[in-house]
Amino acid sequence: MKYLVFVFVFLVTLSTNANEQNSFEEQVDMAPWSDKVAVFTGGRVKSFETFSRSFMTYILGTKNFEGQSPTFTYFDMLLRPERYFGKQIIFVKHKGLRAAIIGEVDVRDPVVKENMGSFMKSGLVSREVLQETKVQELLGRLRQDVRRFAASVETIEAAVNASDPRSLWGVLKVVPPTSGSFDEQWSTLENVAGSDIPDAWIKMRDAWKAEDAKTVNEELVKLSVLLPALGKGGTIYPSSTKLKLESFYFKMGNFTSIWLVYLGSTVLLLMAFVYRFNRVGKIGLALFALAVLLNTAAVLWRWYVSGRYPNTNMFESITTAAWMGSVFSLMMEYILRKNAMKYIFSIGASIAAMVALLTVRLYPLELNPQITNKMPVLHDVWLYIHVNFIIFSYCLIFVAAVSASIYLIRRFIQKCKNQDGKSDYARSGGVASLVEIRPGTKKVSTNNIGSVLDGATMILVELSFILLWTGIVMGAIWADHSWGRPWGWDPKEVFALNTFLIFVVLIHSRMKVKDKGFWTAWLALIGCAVMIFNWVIINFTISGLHSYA
Amino acid sequence: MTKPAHPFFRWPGSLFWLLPLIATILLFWRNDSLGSLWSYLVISPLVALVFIDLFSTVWFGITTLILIFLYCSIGSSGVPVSFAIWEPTAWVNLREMRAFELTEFEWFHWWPFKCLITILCLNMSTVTIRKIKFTILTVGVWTIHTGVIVTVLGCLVYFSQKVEGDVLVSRRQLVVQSSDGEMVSMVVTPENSMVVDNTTYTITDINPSWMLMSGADKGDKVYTVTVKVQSPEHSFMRQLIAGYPEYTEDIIPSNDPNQPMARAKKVIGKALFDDELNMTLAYDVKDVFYLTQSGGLYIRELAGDGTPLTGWIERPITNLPRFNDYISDRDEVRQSGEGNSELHPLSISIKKSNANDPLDQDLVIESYLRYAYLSTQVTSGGPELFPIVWATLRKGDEAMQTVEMYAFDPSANTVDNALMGFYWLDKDEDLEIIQQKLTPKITATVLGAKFEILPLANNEFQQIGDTGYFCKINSINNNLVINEQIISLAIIEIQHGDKIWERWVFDNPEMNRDVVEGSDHEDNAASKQIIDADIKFSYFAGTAPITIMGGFEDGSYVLFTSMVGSENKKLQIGNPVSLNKEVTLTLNRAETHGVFKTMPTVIPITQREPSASNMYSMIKVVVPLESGPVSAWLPYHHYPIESEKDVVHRFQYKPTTLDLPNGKTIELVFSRKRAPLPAPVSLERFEIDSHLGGFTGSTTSIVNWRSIVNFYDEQNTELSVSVNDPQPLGDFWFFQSQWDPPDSNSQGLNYTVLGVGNRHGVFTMLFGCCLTVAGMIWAFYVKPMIKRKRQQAVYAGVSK
Repeated sequence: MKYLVFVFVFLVTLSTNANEQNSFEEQVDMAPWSDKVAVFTGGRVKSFETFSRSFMTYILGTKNFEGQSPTFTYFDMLLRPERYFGKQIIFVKHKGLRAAIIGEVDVRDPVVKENMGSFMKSGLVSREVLQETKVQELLGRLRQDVRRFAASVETIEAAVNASDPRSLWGVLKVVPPTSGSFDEQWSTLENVAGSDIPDAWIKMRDAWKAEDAKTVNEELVKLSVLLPALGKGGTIYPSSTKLKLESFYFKMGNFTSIWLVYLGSTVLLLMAFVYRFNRVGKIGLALFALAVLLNTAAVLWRWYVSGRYPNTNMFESITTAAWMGSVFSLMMEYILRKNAMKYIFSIGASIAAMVALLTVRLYPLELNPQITNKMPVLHDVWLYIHVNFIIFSYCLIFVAAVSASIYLIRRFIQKCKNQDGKSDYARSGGVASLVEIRPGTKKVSTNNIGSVLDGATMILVELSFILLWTGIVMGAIWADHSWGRPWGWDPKEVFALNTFLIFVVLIHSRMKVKDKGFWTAWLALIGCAVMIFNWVIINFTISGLHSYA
Repeated sequence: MTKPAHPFFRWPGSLFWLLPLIATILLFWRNDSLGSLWSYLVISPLVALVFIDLFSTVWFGITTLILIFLYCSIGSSGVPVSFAIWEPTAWVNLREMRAFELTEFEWFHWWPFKCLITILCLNMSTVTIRKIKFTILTVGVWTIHTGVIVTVLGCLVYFSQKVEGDVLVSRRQLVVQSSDGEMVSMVVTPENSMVVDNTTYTITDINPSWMLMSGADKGDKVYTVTVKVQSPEHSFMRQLIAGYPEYTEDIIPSNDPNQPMARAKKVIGKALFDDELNMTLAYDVKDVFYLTQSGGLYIRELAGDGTPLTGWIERPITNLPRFNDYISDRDEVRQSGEGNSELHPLSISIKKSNANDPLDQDLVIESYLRYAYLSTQVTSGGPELFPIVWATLRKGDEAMQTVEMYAFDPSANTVDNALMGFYWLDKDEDLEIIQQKLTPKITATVLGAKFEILPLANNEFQQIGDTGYFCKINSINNNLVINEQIISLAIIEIQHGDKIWERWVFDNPEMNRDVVEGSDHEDNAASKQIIDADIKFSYFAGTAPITIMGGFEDGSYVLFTSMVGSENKKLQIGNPVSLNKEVTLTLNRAETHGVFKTMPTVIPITQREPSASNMYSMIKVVVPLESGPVSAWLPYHHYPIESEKDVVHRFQYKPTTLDLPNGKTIELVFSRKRAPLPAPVSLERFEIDSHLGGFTGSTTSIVNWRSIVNFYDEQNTELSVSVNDPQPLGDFWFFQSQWDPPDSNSQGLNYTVLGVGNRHGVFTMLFGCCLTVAGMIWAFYVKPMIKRKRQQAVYAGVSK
């Protein structure tokens, strides 16, 4: 019995200690400050929540320090820097660089060895390791390798600098100009007039150092009222609603988790399409409609908080393209509700949107979701015309590739069953086949799934063919008055043209080949591959004038 | 059944056309116009007529399209050489290889591409005319094909006449009138300076957004330039405001200690300290622009005193490589890191194209380096004795310092001479004398008797000879900089009987003093007290604690050191020797007959910044003369700037001077070709529209850049050129291309770079593109509707 009591007391003590260890972070309520205080950065203002999330990615990448929120970590690094000495807080993305750094560290000490093991896995390393002479020498050497390592080394140095309390303080521009002038710069708290705000900040700072969560919370609430009040009367301080919505948008991971709804609808719609389960199909369509609705809300939400239509960086291009494809497909589903092509567009769009949202969710460092100002060259009406045409065509190309893939899978199954599927193609092409099979007409040429899939692929190919070409032409018009020439043989331009060329080949070869459906499907897939190559490899690996797109 | 005609006589296309085709090719070839626009227009249809059956097949068109796709891909992204295609190093661009040396523009205007496009157009035309009957249903495809051909024709016009370049226009020039009435000018850029009549004019401050505090335009932001005027007689500052010469004022020294420099009006009651000094701001007018991706050599003759006798005369350079290094002699370049030692000599002739050219002969480019810099380094084989050593100091595995020391020119040493030195013996016998000079020494003189004391800090008193004095060296402090003097000091504690005191012994004995706690240490008579004059000390600090000595008969080098725990050691190249427990010294290299040589150092490919393009390129130009060739390396200049005074911040001006054996002195600059602007241009203002928070210096804070420029044409046109808003003038459009961002030296906004380009054929291209779009809509959407209506009509007819 005594033993049991002892164990109980021990466990209670342990849990109490654990609570105490995390208690300060848990007790501090950053919400008033995070959602109400605006920070000026890079020519725009953000909620502190958004700002700290974006800033901490420079240091920690996508990781959180010991499960802390980025807002708390920001303040903690600023006010208690000693807590982070020797801690693994600098994110090194380049795996080759991680291995090279570990190679320079003396790992005879088991603790160091363990830390290096976790560094290799997580990418997080301490500043002290990075500042070791041998590591510094290594980084100095690698910095000279411009093509492979220089950018990564500079990122590490930027991260180390960013984690310095002086940097954290220097960028914390939360004081709006009291004149309310649009053109006047915002400043840090040391420049604020009067004594209320400095007093509150000092109290908060001292309380933070003393881990007095109650006082911290009180002072944060006070500051979150006083600071916005400085900007009252003018138009430069964002409304609290906007700041809250912005914070919520980023807290919710930019709503990229909608991919799960798309996944659900994909599964149901595929079942409905393959097995002709109408009831499942209806549920699938409802789920798809819900996903489109949520996606629309996400796009509108971002539009509102960013103050501009979301299509100016890779994150926005991909998510907006996914949304456009989904809305288009929902419309097509309505138009083709009594047609054999039912479900194909929504399946394609679901998969396209799912892939798009999952990609931006998994690669937040490459496809940075942060809202920044547009580059000067992007302040033009052609941004909305050219880019939307192009990204819409890209989305349709992906959807076409989905239907083409299903077609090829079907042909493969047919081949396994020794069936000939060469005659399974839409006789009149895309929209033409749709026109022919409209209810009311006597003749229905798309009388099997193969023809239906091929017809759907062609509808998408034809539309994307026109949109892509028009988008390229519009890009040339924009380039003519922006860069002084309509066509500069920039890699991005060339590969947009290459994508178009594949579809030109598709349309012409369809006239000549015997197995039309098969070749159409393959060329649709190749076109999609060239499009993805253009979006991924050309953008990230082969630099050009379109590096921001 | 009729027998098919013989392929030679078939109409319209047959092998019959081979004869005129061959004749035409020969004709164009003899006239050296093969590849001209006319040759394409004439030869292509003839080729089509010969192979008309081939050109009438869709498969041929598809094959051509695939070839165009491959050509575009290879020329744009390059070819992957590893599976890790997301790594930049996985891609090799064929067009950049030595065999091609083509830019993107050149690759896509090379004859293979032109042939492919011509074949495609001919194929499209032939198939359309021969195979596609023109009906309401085929309007779409006819329109698309027509649109493509019109677009290609537009491209032909556009690219064949394309001229593209840029011009840098500074905001203002500073103009000063000299005593003989001549107007001397320099461009307004940070820290620029010039000398006129023994007076130096230096630009000390430029403020692109100075707010006017008075006058009708109060509150406006203007461009101000502050110039320091320094003559043997006086020195003051003058502030000039662009557009407001009446507000010019001087800032002069004042008697107010709180404001040592004050407005002249406050000090002497008038705005100008020197009324006679005529200094103004004038526009920087440019009448030429520089062509993108071109090469030009600029040459001018100099008088004996360096005064230019001619202006810069341009010689165009053609066929200059771009991407690879071409070296004619291994000894003429240095390789930084692992370099390619293959020789690829060039022989590009640069012909005289202007009667004013000071040289008659063709110049020759023998070498080209894509990414290199000129540096002066020591090489062996000099005509005279000039010993140099290179050594590395290393503390364990950590701190490392590499030093370079010159025996005959210690001022050029890359190390503090108080720490390290390099001496050269004339003869071995001098060794002892020099060695004595090297060794630090403390001598105590007690009542006339001299005693040597080891100059090492220690904790215990030691008796001085058999005198009653004891001493303890508390510290040795060498090479202290006090009152701009370098002095060395030994702090010695002296004990005599029960009296203990501290004496500061300097390398200058006059400064020696006893220091009593609480007294000041100033160098004045009052503080210079000697408690006991019977004991005197002198301190010789020696030269450097680490000294390398060379010049021994056996050619060896010896390390002499006064560092604790070390001995004098013979040095061998590459072998580290210990200076103490922690520090080692390695002699890396030694030259007896070193000579300074300036030559290019080639940067390894991995260290080259891709975005730098050819900014760090250079050429080796040879002037062939009867007395023997004279050559020089010329670094690339983005703009062939007129003179030192016109150098704009961020751009270099390093003309190369060649003294020719015939007595002529010429100056050369490697840059780009120039072309005349439709009218001279100057920059009135440069404006920035910013986001919330104003312009912070970062691009993210900028919405738009705007150059307000004046063209000196008949109408004196003023244009506002901004991003996405180019302005036309004559045959050209002007674009906002680059700007002058702020940096640590400057607030920026001192110049603009205007893009200049023509655009013939753009509307033809646009018309062609519109036709294709219209054709696509017809083919994909209108045609099925027409067909459907016809089907419905047929069904309706049948049902009746």
